[in-house]
Amino acid sequence: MAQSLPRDEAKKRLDKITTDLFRPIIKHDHISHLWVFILLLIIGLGLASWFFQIKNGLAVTAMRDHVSWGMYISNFVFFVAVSLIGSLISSIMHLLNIHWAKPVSRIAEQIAIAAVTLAGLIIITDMGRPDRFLNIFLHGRFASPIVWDVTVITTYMVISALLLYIPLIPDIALLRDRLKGIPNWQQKLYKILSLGWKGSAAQYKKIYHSMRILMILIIPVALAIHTVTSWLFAATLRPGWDTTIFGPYFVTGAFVAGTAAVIITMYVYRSRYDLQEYIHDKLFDNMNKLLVLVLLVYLYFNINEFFVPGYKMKTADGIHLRSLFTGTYAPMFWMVQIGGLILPIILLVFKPFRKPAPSLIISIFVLLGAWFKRYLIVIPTVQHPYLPIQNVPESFHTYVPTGIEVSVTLFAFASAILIMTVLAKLFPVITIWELAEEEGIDKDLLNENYDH
Amino acid sequence: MKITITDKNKLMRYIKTILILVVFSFSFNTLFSQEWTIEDPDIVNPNAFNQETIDLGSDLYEANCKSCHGDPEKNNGNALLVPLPPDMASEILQKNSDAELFYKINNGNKLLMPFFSTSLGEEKIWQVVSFIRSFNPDYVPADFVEAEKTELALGQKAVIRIVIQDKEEKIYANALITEKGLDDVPIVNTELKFYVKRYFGNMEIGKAKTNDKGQAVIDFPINIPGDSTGCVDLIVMMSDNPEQVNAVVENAQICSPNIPINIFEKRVMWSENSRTQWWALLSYGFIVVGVWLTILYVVFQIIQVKKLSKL
Repeated sequence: MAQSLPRDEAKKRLDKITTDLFRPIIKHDHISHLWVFILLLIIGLGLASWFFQIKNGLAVTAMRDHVSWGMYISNFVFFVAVSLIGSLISSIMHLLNIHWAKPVSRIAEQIAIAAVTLAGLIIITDMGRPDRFLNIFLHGRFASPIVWDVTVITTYMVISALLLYIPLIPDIALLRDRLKGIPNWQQKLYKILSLGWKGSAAQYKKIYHSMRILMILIIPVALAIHTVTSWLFAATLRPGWDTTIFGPYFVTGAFVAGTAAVIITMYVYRSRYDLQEYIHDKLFDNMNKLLVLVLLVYLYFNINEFFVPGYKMKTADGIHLRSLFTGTYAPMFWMVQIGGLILPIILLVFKPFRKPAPSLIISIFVLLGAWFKRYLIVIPTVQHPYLPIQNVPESFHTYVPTGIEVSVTLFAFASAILIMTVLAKLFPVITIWELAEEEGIDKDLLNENYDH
Repeated sequence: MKITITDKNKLMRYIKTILILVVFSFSFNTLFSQEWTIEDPDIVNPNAFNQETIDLGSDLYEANCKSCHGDPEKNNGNALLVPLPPDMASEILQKNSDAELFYKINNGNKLLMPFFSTSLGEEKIWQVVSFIRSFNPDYVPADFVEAEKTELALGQKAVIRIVIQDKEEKIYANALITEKGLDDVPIVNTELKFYVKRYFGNMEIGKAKTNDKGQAVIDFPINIPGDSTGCVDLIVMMSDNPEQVNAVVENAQICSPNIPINIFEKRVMWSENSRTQWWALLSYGFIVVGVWLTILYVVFQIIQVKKLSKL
C-alpha cells in the first residue's frame, strides 16, 4: 500500500478518479447506442432461430443419432471455461496479495457472471423439449454428473454475483452521492443497492470479512464447476474422453480462455472509455505474463493428453487421434494447437508483444482457439465410438453445424457481451475504493461532505 | 480286349476328369444363370394394380415362393441355395419389367427356379407380379392413368372429414368440395399431410395422396400420448395449400387411451435415486450443505451492513 497522501492532494486525486471512472456510466453517445442495437439485433435473430428450433424440433440442427452433442455443448463448455477467470483473478490473486491484479478483478467478475449465466442458458438450447429441464429437479439422480453440474453451476453463479456485488457496495454509494443528472430509476437503483452505505469502520469490516470468505469459498467451487463439466465427458467410455487428466486439463484450459477474455475486455474498456491511466501498459504486461504462465501449464497438459495415447494408438483411440492429427479435423486441430497455444507462448515471451495492441490480437487468437478447442473435444469423439457406426444414413456420419446452430451460438455470445455492456454502463469497471486505498487516499474522504 | 491295371487306372482318371468338368460346368452354369430370353416383352399385366390383386398375390406367394425367396424386405431367402434367391424388394428383382417377371415365373430357369405355368396359370402369376410390385414405391402400373388433380376454384370450400378406424389403427381423410345444393365433389390426387399438435409445434405423422374417391389413408401411431383426457388434435393440410385458407377439417380430435404420465410421477428406467451410492450421496450432500450455509452466512453479513447504516 502506498504512503498516505496529504488531504488536499488526496481530495483532488479522488475527484479525478471518480470523474474518470464515472465517464462510461454517463457517456451515452451514438456508438454505444449502435453497439447495443447491433447486439440486440443478433440476440433477436438468435431468439427467432431458437424459437424455430423449438417449434420444428432438433432436426433443424445437424445433430443426429451419433453426433448428439454438437456445437451447443461446445458453447456450454466454452462459457463454463471462461467464467472460471473470476475465481483466478479476483480470488486467488487477491489472496496471494498480488496488488497489480486488483484493478482487473471487477472485469474478471463481469466476465464470470456473463459467461456462467450463458453457460446455464445455452444448455437449455440443446434440449428439444426445454420444458423437460424441470425434470432435473423433479427426477434428478444424485449419482448423475448432470445433477452435480447443475448444482455447481447454480452455486458458482450465486457466489460470483455476490463477489461482484459486495466490493461494489462502497462504489455504488459513491455513485449515489456523486453522480448527478442521471435518470430517476438509476438513482433509485443505486440507493437500493448501496444499502444505505455510510462507510463506517464496522461496515468495511463486514465487507472485508464477507469478501474473504467468498474468495476462499469460490476456489473449490470454481475447480468443481469445471471438473464436474469435464466429468460429463470423462465419466463416459469413449475414445478421447476416457482419460484421468480431464479435470485439470479443463481447468487449466479455462484459465487460458478467461485470461484472454480479460485482456480483450481490458483493451476495449481502455480505448473506449479513455482509461489509459488505470488500465495501463504495465497492467497489460503483467496480464500477458500471466497468460504465458497459464498457456505453458495448458501446453503441458496438452502434451500429456495427446502424447500418451498417441504413443500407444490403441484401436479406437488411434482412429480418433488420426482424425485429429492427419484426418478430417487436422486443419482445425493444428490451427488451435499452433495458433492458439504455441505461437502465443513464443510471441508473448518478447516484451513488444505484451503491449496493448499486439496482445489484443494474440488474445483474440487464444480465445478463438479456446472455442475451437472445445469443438474438437466434443465432436470428433462422438463421431468415433468404440463400436463402429453402421447401417445409418450417410448424413449421420458427418456433422456440420446448421445456420440455426450458428445463429443460436451468436445469440449466446451477443447476450454475454450485452450483460457485460450493461454492467459497464451501470457500475465503474474498476473498484474505486480499492484503488483509492492502493493510492493512499483516506477512506473517510470517500464518504465526506455527502449527506444522506 | 483285356484291360490292364494301368489302363484301368487311366480310365478311372479319365472318368474323374470328365466328372469334375461336368460338375464344374454345372455349378458354373448355376452361378451365371441369369441369362433369360423373353418371348414376348410387350405383354402387360391384365389385372388392375390394386389392393385386391396384391392380397391375392400375397397368398400365392406365401404358398409357392416363400420357401426359397423368404419374406419380402427381409433378405431371408434360403441360404442353402446357390445363387441365393433374391428378395422381392431387392433392386435386382425390381428392375425387371412386368413381362420379364411374368416370363421368369411362368417358365422358370430349368435349374433352381421352377416353372409355374402349369401349377399357377397366367392369371395367378400376374397376381404374384402385382404382389411383388407392391414392394416398389416407384412402380407405375402399365395401365396407370394419372387422375387429374382437383384444383379448387376461387371461393370454393374444401372439407376434410376425418374417420378413424381404431381397429385398423388407420386414419381416413375424405377430402371433398362441398357446395350448397350440389353433390360433394371428391378432391382427387392431392397430397394430404397429417400432423399431430404437440406442445411446441406440429409433428408430422404421415402423408398420402387422395384416391379417386377423395380418400387418403395413413397409419396412426397409436403410442402417441395425448392430453390429460388422452386426446390429440389432428391437423390435415393439403400439401400445396399450406395456409389452408379454404379448407375445414372436421372431427380433427383423436382420443386414444394414451394419457401422458403426470410429470411428478416417478419414471425410472433402471437406476433409482434410492440406489445412489451412499458415499456419493454423502459427499454431495455434505458439500452442497456446507457451501450454501457459507453463502447464507455471507448474505447475513450483507444484511448486517444494511443494519449498520441505520445506526
